[in-house]
Amino acid sequence: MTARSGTLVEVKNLSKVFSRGKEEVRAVTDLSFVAKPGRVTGFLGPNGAGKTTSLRCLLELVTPSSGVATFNGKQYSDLTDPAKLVGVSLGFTGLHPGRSAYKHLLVFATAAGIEEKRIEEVLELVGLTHAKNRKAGSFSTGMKQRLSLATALLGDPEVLILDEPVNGLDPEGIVEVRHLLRNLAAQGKTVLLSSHVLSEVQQTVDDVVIIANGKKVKECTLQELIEDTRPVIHAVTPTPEKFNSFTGGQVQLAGDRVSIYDTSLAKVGNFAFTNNIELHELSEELQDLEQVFLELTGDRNV
Amino acid sequence: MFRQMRAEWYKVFTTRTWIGIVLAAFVFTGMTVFGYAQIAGTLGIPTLEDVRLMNLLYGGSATGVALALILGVVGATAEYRYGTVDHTYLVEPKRSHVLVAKLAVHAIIGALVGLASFGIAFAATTAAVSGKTHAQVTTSALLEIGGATVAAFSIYTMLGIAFGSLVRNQLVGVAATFGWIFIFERLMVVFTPDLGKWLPGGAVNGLFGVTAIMNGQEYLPRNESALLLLAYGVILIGACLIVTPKRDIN
Repeated sequence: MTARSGTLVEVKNLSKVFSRGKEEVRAVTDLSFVAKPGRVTGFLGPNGAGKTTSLRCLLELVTPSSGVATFNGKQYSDLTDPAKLVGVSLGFTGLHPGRSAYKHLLVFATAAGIEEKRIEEVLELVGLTHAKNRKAGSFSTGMKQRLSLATALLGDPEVLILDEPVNGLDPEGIVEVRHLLRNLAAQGKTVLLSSHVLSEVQQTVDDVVIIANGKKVKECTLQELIEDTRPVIHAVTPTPEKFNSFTGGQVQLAGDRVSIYDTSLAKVGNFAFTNNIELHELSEELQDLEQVFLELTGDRNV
Repeated sequence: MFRQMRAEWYKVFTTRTWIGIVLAAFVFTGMTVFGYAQIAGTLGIPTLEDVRLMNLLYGGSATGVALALILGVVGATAEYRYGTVDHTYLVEPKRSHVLVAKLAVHAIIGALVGLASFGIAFAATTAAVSGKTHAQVTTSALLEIGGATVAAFSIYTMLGIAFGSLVRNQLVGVAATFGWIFIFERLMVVFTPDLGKWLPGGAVNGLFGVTAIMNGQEYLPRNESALLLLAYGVILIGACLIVTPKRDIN
């Protein structure tokens, strides 16, 4: 498995049901998707959608009820030296508060058979060199996030799996992580990152997999998602009811405001002109990606 | 496996948790030795001229085994408390390998702490009986007590790792350990001595071959006690090897 060939991450029909006493909670249902080498795949969904459980199943920290996840056809536990192929950050947990950043990395570099000099490199990459001897317990959320990312990068892996990697980062940190991930993808690495906010990763991802209530609702390129956005035409008129006879799109009335989907500015203008409708405003609004995301996931609280 | 063992070694010594536990074991040992030396000849305790009491003083390090158990419990449960278990299993997905490495490293650490505790018991006893008439303990008896201390600490630290890996919750693990050693086992020894000697604490007393003083309790002979302790280890570690690989890490 070289950087040239890349590593395909494949999730096939993954399901996970947790037992809580007599009750069964279905966290993930029949989930399938791929994350390709050389691309950043956004694994998106609202909080509680099953993203983290899916990633933990992929990494065999959680045993799936059914289905399988593979890295170039091999399950995680069958990989030789997995930390050198797959780098993982599962958020800013997983740090002993009494252990310094350097020693945290030393523990896992040792376990993974990674040379100690790599520790300085990853600390530099994530901008934590100045704090390497400070205990993780004194770190801010953003610093913990950076240290977790450094742990993922230790083995210079072919695949990066990151759970909410920009959570807690300041705007500057978000930009740095974005550049880092884009750079890694450009080297042919496979990057799979989860987020509950599309706008946070919109400028980072190439592909998106969107889940809601444990089920996949969309898998496409970001470009395809953008093309899915529907323009909406707004008209303000003293006689909005006259638009009820418009057949060129989907009409919604709210007071003197008319919103028309799946149409064009020209069609609405022509309709108003031919039907002698007085207009006080006629404008086009492009629906943003976040609205598409919310519609797909049925989440209004993001 | 050697990589995992080195990593486990670093996990222990890159935080300060172990220092408090080991110091507590040393303090327990010193207090026990000086305490018994002070009340020798009273409260039904033999005098310093009785070799049984001298054996007890040199074996005062046995009181620290509770802390050896805590050292193991904390070593295992800290992984879950702080979530480091994620990376531990991501680096080595074969969880049985991680458990074996953790057991091996903690067995070594337990043995070293046991050796140091025996050194403290020896020094404390020498100081406590200095200038007083006392029985002489043979070199071979001292070596047996020292060996028992090292073995008991090593096995108890491993038992702690196994128990901690099963319960996972640090607070529950530590509370249950203290409850077991300082309440349950002591009550069992007092009220049902015939059963008490079959418990791990009874086996440790048997291993030292010293503590049949206060209540006339007869513990199992040294070799049988060692086998009993090992049997507890096999059962607990076996349970871990069965349960740990199947558990979800959420």
